[in-house]
This record gives sequence, C-alpha cells and structure tokens, in this order.
Amino acid sequence: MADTPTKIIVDCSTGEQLIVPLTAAEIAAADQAAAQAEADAKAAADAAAATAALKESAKAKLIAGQPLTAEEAAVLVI
Amino acid sequence: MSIKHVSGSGLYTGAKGVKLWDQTTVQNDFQSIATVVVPSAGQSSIVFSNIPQNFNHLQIRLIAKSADTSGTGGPNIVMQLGGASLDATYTNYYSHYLNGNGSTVPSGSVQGSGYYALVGNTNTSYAGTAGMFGANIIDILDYTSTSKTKTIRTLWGHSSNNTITEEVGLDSALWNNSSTAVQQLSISIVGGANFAQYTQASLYGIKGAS
Repeated sequence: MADTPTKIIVDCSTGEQLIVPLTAAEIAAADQAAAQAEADAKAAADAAAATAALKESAKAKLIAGQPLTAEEAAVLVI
Repeated sequence: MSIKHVSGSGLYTGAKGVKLWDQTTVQNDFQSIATVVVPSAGQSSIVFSNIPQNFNHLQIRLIAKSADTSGTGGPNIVMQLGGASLDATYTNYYSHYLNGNGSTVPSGSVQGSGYYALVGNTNTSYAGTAGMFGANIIDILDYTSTSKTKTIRTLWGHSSNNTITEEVGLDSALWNNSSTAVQQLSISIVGGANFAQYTQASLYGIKGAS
C-alpha cells in the first residue's frame, strides 16, 4: 500500500513546523484535481492539434486554388 | 549623492546636509514571517497557519519543483485561503493566466474542479532537470480586509536549459470572500504531485503608510 501523502505546516506565530498526513477529504480533493488536470491537458492538446490540422488544410487548399471552409478561413484571418 | 558625514545624531548628505537616517529608526516595511524548505520525502502541500494580521499585504517567494518525473509540461500551482479553516470550495476561486513558451502565448480563465487560486507554475523532475526549480513571486493584497474580496497576483517562470518545456507567465486570482481575513493559506500542485525536496516557500509581510 502506498504511503499516505503528507503536508508541512508552519505556525507563523511560533515558527513550529509539523508534517501531518492528509485527511481522506484532502486526498479525495487531490484525486479530483488530478483528474481535472489530466482532462484539461488533453483538451488543450486536442485543441492545438485541431488548429494545426485546420491550418495545414487551409494552406494546401490555398496553394491548390480551392475554396476554404469557414473554419479554415477563421484560423487564417484574425 | 555624496555622504557628508556621520554624526552622533545621524547620516547626512553633501552640500545641503539632508539627514538620511537618524541612527534609530528601523523601517521594517518588508519583514520575513516564515520560511519552509521541503525535506527529502517531499510534501503534497505547504501550509502557513496563524499568519500575523499586522501587515497590509503578503508576499510569498516560492522556489518550487514538482516531484513528478514523468511529465515534461509545467504543472500549475494553486493556493487555498482561509480564516479559521481553509476554503476548499473550488467555485469560491477564480483565476486568469497569460504565459508564453517561445512559440505560443496561451491566455484564459479557470474556475472549477481541481483549481483553487492559480499562483504560478513550475517544472517537473523529468530526467536531465536535476537542480532546476521554478520561481514564483506571489502577492496577496489587503489580506486582512473584512470588506473586500482578496486578490492575488503572481509572476512566474521556469527554465530547464532547453531540456523540457520552458515558460514565463502572469496569473491573477480572486478569493471571493470579502468578510474573512486571511489567517492561513495552503500551496499545492494541481494534479496531486508532491513538491520535491528543496522546494522553498518564504512568507513576507509588507507594511503600508500608517
């Protein structure tokens, strides 16, 4: 079984430092945060890949003299 | 400006003899409150409790590194704030970010599961980055106010000698609580990774005009 994660607490009034295990609620919150972070990273990567694909498609159509879709035009015109 | 002389009553400039220091007054406008250095086992979060209430603003100088060895991207750092207890409700925090990595400049806002106040970013413990830490300067403004929501501004950056993703950025965040003075705060890495050994967080108090 993995060790329970811990946090370090410094009491600013005394300077005392304590290392204490996370509570079950804190561990659950961290797990939730991990899932959200993974989802956010995947969404960002997917969005970047989609934009890059649109740019490549628009570039190829411009060179070939073909009409662009609205999405392809949108990534070229600011 | 030249120094004219030092006397028993102070330090004086040249021709006009303006007194620079009376040899007694100590301003102490920027004071160290506490410093934490993460030990060898690493820690999931760093908590400052019983924060003194006699300053106008707080600043944290965080030299951080994630213990995660698998990731190459910079993980976000978040902060919980609280009075008697830390506020764990994500929807009470709202953040904006602007950062650059040499090729793209992402910007946007974030509120929701997994995110408290966004207070920077750091590098990971990916192979080849030994000894490389991210720098985060975090300002918490008017933290003792019981009539205004609390605002946070962070300037951050991390480099790795071009080994993995390098970024510089600016974050701003809101703790949407106007009635509670900040008595404690907790810093952690989004995704749950530990802060690596030697991560250092120093808390300072800044005084204003009285």
